[in-house]
Amino acid sequence: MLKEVRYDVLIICSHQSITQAITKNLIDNPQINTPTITSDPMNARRLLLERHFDVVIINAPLEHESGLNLALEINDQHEVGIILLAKSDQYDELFDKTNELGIITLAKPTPSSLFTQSLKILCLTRQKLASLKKRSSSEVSLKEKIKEIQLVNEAKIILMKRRSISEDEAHHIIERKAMNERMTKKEAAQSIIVEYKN
Amino acid sequence: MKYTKNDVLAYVNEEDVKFIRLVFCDLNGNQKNISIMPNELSKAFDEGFKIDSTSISGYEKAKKITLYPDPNTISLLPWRPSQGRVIRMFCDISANDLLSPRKELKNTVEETGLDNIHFFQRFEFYAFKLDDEGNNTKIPYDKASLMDIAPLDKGEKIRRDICLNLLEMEIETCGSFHAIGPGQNAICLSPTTALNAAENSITFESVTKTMAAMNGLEADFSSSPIENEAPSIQVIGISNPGEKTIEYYNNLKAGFETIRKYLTNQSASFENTVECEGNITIKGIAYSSNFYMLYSDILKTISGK
Repeated sequence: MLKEVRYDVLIICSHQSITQAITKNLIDNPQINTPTITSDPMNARRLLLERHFDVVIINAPLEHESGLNLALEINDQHEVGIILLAKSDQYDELFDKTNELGIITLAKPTPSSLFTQSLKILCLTRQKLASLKKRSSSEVSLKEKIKEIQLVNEAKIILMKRRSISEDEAHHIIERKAMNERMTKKEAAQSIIVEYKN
Repeated sequence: MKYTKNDVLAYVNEEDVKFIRLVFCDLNGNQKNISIMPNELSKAFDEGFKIDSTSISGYEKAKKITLYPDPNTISLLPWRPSQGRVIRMFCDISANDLLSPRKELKNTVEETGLDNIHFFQRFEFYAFKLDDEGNNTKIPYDKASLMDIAPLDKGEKIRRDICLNLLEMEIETCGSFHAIGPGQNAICLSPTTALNAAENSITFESVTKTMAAMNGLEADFSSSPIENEAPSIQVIGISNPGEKTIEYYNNLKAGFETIRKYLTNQSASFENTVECEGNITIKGIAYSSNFYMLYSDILKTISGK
């Protein structure tokens, strides 16, 4: 399934023994390139800027911070999968805060098989997401959205004048037309403007 | 008029905008802002939004100033979450008899009739690493030199982030490269009207500093942040003045004293500051200038009034 695809992993961890344990787990996996390791969250932020990573593994807590905020921040700004390793007494709290965001939180000590499976699943979902993203159309820009608002308003005013109806009624007519004829509100407004101008 | 008050209100309502940043500048050109909630916006358009100005430089004596958001300057902050979005608008300031640089620039454009002049801008900044507590280490981000390529140039991705974010805010850039000093970057903004150019420079600074901070760096726009390394030279210029070139150049020469106060080196000669080769270029503008007043004074000077 994962043939020809290799993943880049960044490990952020301030405990050498845990870093070694994670690295040992990754070395056996032919799909993972040699991981990049840092203990400094600022250095991690810079590394993420310089290079592309597929997966970030954060061992919480870090030296000066809990690791949670770093995970949330990276999740917000970078297109990467995140595994957060939590102390067992903090696991519930961290899980609650990261669960909905798609960050995988695992309690320590983590069984090697669970860790490896989680990593594989994360890599697979990232591939799936990437292919979905290609298909979905991009978001409407502010400029286009305001253009739509202006067109709908223009169509509303025309309808209100020509048919002597209220703004609400005009709004409904545009929405119904868009729904019935399977077009966007913008296209419905455009066709009304053209219709009445002729 | 591109957009009206009602367009903006409809946009805020339909697109789940939660915060509206009212942006203005103090008289020293520092960007200031205050966030208001959507239910305050309609009133802010009609009556303005009053703020205490006793600690805003240049407006201490006015005690209170009123901000009037300009719907034409609406822009979405692209790095904010897509739910509960944040938009910003630049504001005119009304403060008794005190100067409002934004209004002053708009008046100058009208009085001189020079609304067709377009200005280009090229800004340079150093990127310094932050330590793990977020303090500036003053260590440059890379060791590359002029127009070097990756991996020597590490600033490639951050310049890309800046340009793409600016584009989403409808500010066009026409080039970017690694500058002479280590960690020094340059980005060129496409020519636009004086008012847009002034506001683009304000937005550019905040986008650049935000993108840098998000990535463990600090962007420094000051002229010589590292001794013995290349200074950051901020450049603005008139794009294709055509047959007016000689007239504008001579007027700039005659009125150079007015422009001098905006330069980092205020004893610089006219010949070392202004170049004329197709475009008219003014080098060495201090980034800490109030760009509304800068462009207002440039328009007045080149019009010869």
